[in-house]
Amino acid sequence: MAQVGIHVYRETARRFFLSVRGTLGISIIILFLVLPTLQPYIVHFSPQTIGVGGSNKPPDSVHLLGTTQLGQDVFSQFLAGGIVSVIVGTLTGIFASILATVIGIPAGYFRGKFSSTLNLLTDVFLVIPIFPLIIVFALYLGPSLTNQILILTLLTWPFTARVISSAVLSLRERAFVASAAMAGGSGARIMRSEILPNVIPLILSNGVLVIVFAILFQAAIAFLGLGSPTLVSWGNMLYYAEQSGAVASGEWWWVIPPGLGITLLAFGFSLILLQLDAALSTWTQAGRK
Amino acid sequence: MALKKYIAQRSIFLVASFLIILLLNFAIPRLMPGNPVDRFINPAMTPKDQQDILQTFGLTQPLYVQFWLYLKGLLTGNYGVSFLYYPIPVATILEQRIPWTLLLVGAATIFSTLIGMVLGMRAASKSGSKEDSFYVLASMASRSIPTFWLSLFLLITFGVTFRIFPTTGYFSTQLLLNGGNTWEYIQSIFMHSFLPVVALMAYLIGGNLLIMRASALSTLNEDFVLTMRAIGYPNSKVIYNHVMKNAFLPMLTNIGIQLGLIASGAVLVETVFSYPGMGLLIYQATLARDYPTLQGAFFVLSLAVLLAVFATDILYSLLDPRIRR
Repeated sequence: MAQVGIHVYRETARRFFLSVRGTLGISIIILFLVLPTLQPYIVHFSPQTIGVGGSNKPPDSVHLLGTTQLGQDVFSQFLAGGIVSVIVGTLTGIFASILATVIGIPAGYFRGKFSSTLNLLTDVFLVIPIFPLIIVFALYLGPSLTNQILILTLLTWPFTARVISSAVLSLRERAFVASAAMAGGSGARIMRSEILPNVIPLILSNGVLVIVFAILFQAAIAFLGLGSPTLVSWGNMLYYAEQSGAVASGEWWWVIPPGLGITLLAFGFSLILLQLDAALSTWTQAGRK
Repeated sequence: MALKKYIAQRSIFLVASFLIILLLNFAIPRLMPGNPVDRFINPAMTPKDQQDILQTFGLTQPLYVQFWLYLKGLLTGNYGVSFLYYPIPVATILEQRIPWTLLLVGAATIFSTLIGMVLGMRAASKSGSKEDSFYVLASMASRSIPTFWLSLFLLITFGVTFRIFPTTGYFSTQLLLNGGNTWEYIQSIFMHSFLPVVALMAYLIGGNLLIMRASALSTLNEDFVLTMRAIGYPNSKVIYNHVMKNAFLPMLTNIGIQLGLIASGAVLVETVFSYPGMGLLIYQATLARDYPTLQGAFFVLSLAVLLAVFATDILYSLLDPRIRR
């Protein structure tokens, strides 16, 4: 019997939180979550206010990261902008994982037309160049954050679904699944109480991978000018920098910080992923018994 | 025999995916709000004129007729006329753009695969050491950098500040005006594509390194490696002649799959560097609501990735008979 008992949860959590990588990753994300709230206490310029400084001024003691073309304070925009990436990334990761689980488990468990159609669909999604599709959808659906989350969810779930369905394909051949079926368990019951606990490690680590993807894609959508124009986000900062010619004239103070922010945040989630994989090995081993 | 069956199976997948892409490509512009020819229509026109424009683009016919015309057009290479570059046919624009994207994507794929293989092999052979975890963390970091921002960074640093590389286009316009010999053209093309290729590669090297590392680690645990070492083969020979060859196979599948990602990266990189390939075309066509161009470009791009995945699958089965079962 592949029981995933309470000790497995505890052991996984212990291995995760007692590691440098795991705690560092979590800290980076929490930092960017709370910075927007702290921003007014750190810098006394509101990120959106126009003309708090000169136009395109390099960093000085008042504006630590200089100003934009409209005279906005870059540092306050940088502090306030990260939360958009965290929210879009995390929600996309959660929704895509749910969708992938609901579709991936039956696709691996059942045999026949239903599962081969699902598998074909996931394979096709893996092959299609998704970014052009993201641009097209973003343009048509409009720039709201909800739409961005929707688009990214619709286009990233197949990655996780594929991994889940091939894991389920081998799980269903195992003795504990067969004995549950012989005991008269229905398909739905077996999938929920025998298969699901054993694919949770996969769902979690692929979920984090989707978060990293979503953060990068969201920034790219905004950079191309297809995001909410009034929102303070790192992608939007880069869009306005590019549009106002800051890149062409080498205004690094406006271009470098938002990109470093995105990189650091995505790296924070990558650290979590790395440590999660290590911590979840207990879980995977418990499933193997 | 098994090989034939495997190829047949993959071919069915190829055809099925092709049909899904055809449908998506047809449906998306039509499902979305707004009219594909809105940019040609203004409210001052009489309804009759507006109707005439719709008719010119074949949009007054029933959907199944439109679909039939669309299929016929795609299969005969007639993708319609671009709205943005009216009246140039989409096929002509695609012909001009495809080679430049192939150059970027091809160079980035080849070099990132080679570098990823060598570094991944190195990391695996020192598994558990500080050097190994450095490689893993560095790969993770390289995959966290937004490709478009890296392009901006390279552009500001090496294009604007140090003026080592040109900042736009595929070759120097001066060459076009004054003419130049082949060598000058090659040099100019190299300089123009250098930064875009580096920007594309940064993301790919990390992924390739991690896959090569994982694949090499599992090969290193196989019995034949232990046997060879026990017999006393030199370590370098075991690694480079035997482990690397076996560990390369998963990389091959990955090349096909990652092409979709590279195509995504190309859109961003080409936009930042104003590099006139397919990626920039897709971006321009999207902003201009140029549906025929968008459809044509998306179709060609998807088809290319699909065929590449098919080719790597077949190649894989030729190199490794085990997966044909």
